[in-house]
Amino acid sequence: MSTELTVRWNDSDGQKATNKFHFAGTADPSTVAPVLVPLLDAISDAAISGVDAMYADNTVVGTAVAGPYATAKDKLELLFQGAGGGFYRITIPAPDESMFLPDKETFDAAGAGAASLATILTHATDPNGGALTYISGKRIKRRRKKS
Amino acid sequence: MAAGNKLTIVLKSYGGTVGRVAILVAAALVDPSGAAVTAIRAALDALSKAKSTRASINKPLAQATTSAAGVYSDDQDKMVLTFKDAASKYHNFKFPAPKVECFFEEDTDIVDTSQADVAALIGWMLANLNAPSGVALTGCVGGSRIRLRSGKRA
Repeated sequence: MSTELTVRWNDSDGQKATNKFHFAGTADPSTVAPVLVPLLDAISDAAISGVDAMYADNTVVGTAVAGPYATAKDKLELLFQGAGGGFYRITIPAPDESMFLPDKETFDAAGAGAASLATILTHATDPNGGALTYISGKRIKRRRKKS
Repeated sequence: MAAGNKLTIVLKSYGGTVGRVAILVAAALVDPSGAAVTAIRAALDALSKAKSTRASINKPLAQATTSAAGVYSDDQDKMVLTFKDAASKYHNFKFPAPKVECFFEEDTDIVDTSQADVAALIGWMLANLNAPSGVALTGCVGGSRIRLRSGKRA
């Protein structure tokens, strides 16, 4: 696994810029930033507003197969409520048709998708790190881009 | 600072169309190849007819240094440092709003790589960074000042 670190800048006019750095292995911004930010601050009159790390894994999981909703435009939209009361959506492209009730639009939370929903609820959080509660799920289709 | 990290999983359908699933996860979760992300990718594989081609986690950290006015304090002014990697490829790093009194040999736009702050940054980069391909950086071949046209990002 490698790390891509992005440093975000703002100049005195409020214009933005970024720099990207690449590390082998895992680089935690909370340990890299105390060293890197002073070095960058010493050579630039711009302000640094953030240091973001991105960790990526390009392993392929699963096999793409055909189906009635097997395009990125068709989506399963899951609605959750966070611990603070806010509502959040997770949209999943190309949903498997067996995940829906006979109306082919309502997600069957107690059926074939129950285990997957439980896994998502185990790991997903709201923006404040609080747990999510499942509300509902449905199939949606994105319109084509407007010209 | 955000309370968590953002996990992004790229899914590619049978017809080749691509979609992304974004899920907020705990701040401690940083390994996209670890057990937690593997479980999430398996869960999405069960829900979707697409295959997952990439998982990435974005971990943000806010900073608050101060900007200052200077001769080159515009983001379109850049100090460009050029590095060579072990595969003999060159990589440019463009830093905005460079401090003029630290860098340039008199009356030129050439970076003084022996200046203390510049040398410290170059030393850190050589000791810690790789090229995007994963190959190590082996040396800094020089630097210069450039100015981008208005509205153009480096």
